[in-house]
Amino acid sequence: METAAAVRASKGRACAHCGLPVALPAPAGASGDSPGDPGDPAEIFCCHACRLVAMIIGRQEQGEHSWNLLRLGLGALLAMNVMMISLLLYSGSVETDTVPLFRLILLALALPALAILIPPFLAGAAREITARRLSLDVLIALGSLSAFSISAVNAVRGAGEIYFDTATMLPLLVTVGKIIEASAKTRAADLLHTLEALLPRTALLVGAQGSEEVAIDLLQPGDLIRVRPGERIAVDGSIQEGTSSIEEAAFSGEFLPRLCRPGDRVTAGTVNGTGTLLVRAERTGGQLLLHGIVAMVQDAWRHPSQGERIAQRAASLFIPVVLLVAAGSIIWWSLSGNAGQALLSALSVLVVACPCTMGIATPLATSLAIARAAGGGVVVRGGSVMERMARTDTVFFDKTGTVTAGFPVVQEIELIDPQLSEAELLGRLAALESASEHALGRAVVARAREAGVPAGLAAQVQVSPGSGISGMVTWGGVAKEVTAGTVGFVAGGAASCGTAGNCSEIYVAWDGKLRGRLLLADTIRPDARRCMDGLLQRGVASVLLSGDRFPAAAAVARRVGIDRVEAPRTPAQKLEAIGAAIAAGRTVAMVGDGINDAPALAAAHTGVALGAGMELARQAGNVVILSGRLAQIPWLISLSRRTAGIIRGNFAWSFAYNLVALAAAAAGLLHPLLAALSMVVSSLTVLGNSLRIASFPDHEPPGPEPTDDLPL
Amino acid sequence: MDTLTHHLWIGLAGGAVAFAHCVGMCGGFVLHLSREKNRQRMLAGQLLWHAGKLCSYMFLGAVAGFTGAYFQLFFLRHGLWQNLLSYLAAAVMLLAGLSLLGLLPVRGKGEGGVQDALTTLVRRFFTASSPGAALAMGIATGFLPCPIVLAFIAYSLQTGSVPSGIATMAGLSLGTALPLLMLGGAARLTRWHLRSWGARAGGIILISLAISTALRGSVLYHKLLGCPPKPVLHQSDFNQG
Repeated sequence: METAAAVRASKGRACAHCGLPVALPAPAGASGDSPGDPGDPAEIFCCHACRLVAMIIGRQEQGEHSWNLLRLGLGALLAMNVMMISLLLYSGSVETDTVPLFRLILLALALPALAILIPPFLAGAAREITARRLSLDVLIALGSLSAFSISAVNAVRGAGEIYFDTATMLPLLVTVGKIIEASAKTRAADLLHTLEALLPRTALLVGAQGSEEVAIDLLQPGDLIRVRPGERIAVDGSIQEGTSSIEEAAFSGEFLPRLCRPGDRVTAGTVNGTGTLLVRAERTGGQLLLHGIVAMVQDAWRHPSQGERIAQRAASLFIPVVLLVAAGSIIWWSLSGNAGQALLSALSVLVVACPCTMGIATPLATSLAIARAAGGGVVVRGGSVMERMARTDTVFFDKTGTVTAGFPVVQEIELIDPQLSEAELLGRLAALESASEHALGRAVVARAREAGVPAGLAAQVQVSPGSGISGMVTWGGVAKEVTAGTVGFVAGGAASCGTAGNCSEIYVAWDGKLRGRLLLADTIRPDARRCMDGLLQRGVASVLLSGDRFPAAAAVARRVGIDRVEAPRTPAQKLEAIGAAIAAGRTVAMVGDGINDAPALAAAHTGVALGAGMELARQAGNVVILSGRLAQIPWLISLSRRTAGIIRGNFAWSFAYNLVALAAAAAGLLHPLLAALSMVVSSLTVLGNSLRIASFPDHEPPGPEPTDDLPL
Repeated sequence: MDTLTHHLWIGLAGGAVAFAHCVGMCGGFVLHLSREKNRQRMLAGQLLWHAGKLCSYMFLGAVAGFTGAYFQLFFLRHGLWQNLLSYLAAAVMLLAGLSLLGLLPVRGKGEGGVQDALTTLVRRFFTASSPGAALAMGIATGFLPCPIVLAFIAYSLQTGSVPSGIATMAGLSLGTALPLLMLGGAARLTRWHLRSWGARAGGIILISLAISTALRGSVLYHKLLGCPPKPVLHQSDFNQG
């Protein structure tokens, strides 16, 4: 049975053990960590730890996995016993006359321990030597076998020092360290895998012959799917029948369920609430938005950030430095007349050096951060983008569709005819506007639907662009010739401006009398204020960049807490404003809906697109907030800053640890065993530090907002 | 040998009395292994898990005892107060006990860190229920941070003797093994209940042990028992080192 990692590996150049992408293509014929056996993509490994662990534990095939675990367990058991007996001998807890017997017991225990633990290192060493390279495998194999050989001879002849503990614990400690490293790396792939796991295995396909449970791989666009209460939705599509609330939290980071009706779009992986839905599939299989997100994250993993490049460069320079220190240590101790100490010191230097803190912990932190963001419904397209987000100090916001919802809603209904009910006014107008594609018309229909007012029947509808709409509407069994639009259009005069302040007006009349007036306005996004407050708390300046009139833009800015407004600005002037901020040394992010402001998104250091469309995600900014929630911007900045802080911490630790440890090892203050233990602890420290990103808390759920649904 | 028996009994008693905490913490491992339908394989898995844990505990005891002996030698050479180690060990036990009683601020879930990395490691062994996985899981479990284990490692450290450290930790492992074996099947029903009062019982035991360890380092205690006025290192320790 293939694992998820193996499946992913077969799809591209992903590590066969941890599932993370292998960044660089392998040179032809080379062997080593990343390249595996040519022609077998399942054998590609991203690092030495993953390859070693795959050799030791194997993949998830039950028999092989169990056997390897048993071997590893027995090896560990024997090595620990060797160490315990050695400690008894070192502390003088054994009677002098029985010491030779204990040394033979140690030989008897160390032999099978080494036979179990050393083969993966020998295989790795042979592989490295064939490739004319020197790696940890060669050093461990050499160190362990030398220590064992000397000890075995001395144990048999009954004189001289024995190092069975070094011979057995060295490969064990390194093995454990590498297992921990490789296990930690799988966390990033696991985080992404939880996204894929949101998809159900089967769906209830509705056909001409009835319903049938089928695997989701068999679904095609156009299929009708029945979604029962509590089920996960299997396709991206639109609701044909039924009303229900859809939970999208695990997918988009949106906490509150969304009420969906016929015509609304749903996304695969979200959870249906209490209603039953009939959904027509629009995208299935590999075209699903969820798979698109996973693909984009995997693509992002392939683009190393500057920090990762520095780490890789440092790790590659580190090995020659360590070899030089080891050689220097041998020369120094040999010249001092202590050949035994020369070998021990050199071995300690080679073992204690911990390049993994640089080579693995930094990419792991970035990968985890990208996967964590994806888990919150934010696609970050590359480690560099995450780094730039951490440095962002100025965020430009587009107004319409970004800070505001971008579509009008009915704010007020005024009954001019006191005899008329609001339901009749809304019912007749909704019937008329159903035939219109105008944004104001859609707002009226939506309001009638929300209020539960049945729309009447409209006939002979005539649209007068820019003025209004008229037609025969039957509501409550009574037909009337209804006119709606600007006051001039409705009153029969010339068309006049249909606005009142920042609101649009619709006047409604029938039988020659004005019956009512509706006020409509765009609304500020519910979480806009929270977003601006969050940015302010993080020391990030916000600027509203709008093509609208200055008073309208300033009103919005005042409501959401933005101090600086640049309006009106043409698309070219928006680019100039962003360019000027960059020229002034600011690190700039531009937030837009991705439809009209693509050039501005591209001009900023980071372009943040709001929306859930896959095409939009592909074309627009390098950060896509699928839920469209502005409050995720400060959250993302916090996540990126935490990541940057952790990477800096890893670098600092790595530098300090290696400096101290190498000096101590070269000076002969560190036994090889303590060196190996230090290396494991150091690895654990930086890996554990990086893993903190996986548990970065979710953004706070939205609370009551003072600006909710208020007109501009 | 008397000293070894003494330490073995201390570990055994500590493990036996703290079993409720252990069932709460390690019940999940035992339950996981109990799911094996074949009775013989289930029993083999349980025994291998305990063997792995026993070996890890003994190993930790040996390392702690050796380190303690090293420190005692260091303190004596430098004329430092010999009982400092007893007080340090007692402080660790006290902190562990207070932690179990919920009187110390603890980090919340999901903080990541080293424990997260270790948990990730142990989780790998959960993927298979085979003898190898049971043994590896048992060995790894022995190294998972747990207040009771940390407290007894501290105790082993202050014994300053490798055999005493091994005996203490072996006693602890055996003390927890029998209740875990017996209660393994019932742990599913009772573990949450046991975890609450088991933690409190464990905390009280550790605090008692901390007080007795601290007293052992005091002049009063030595006077009461008629000990020699000058500190004495274990006779055999480091005579061949």
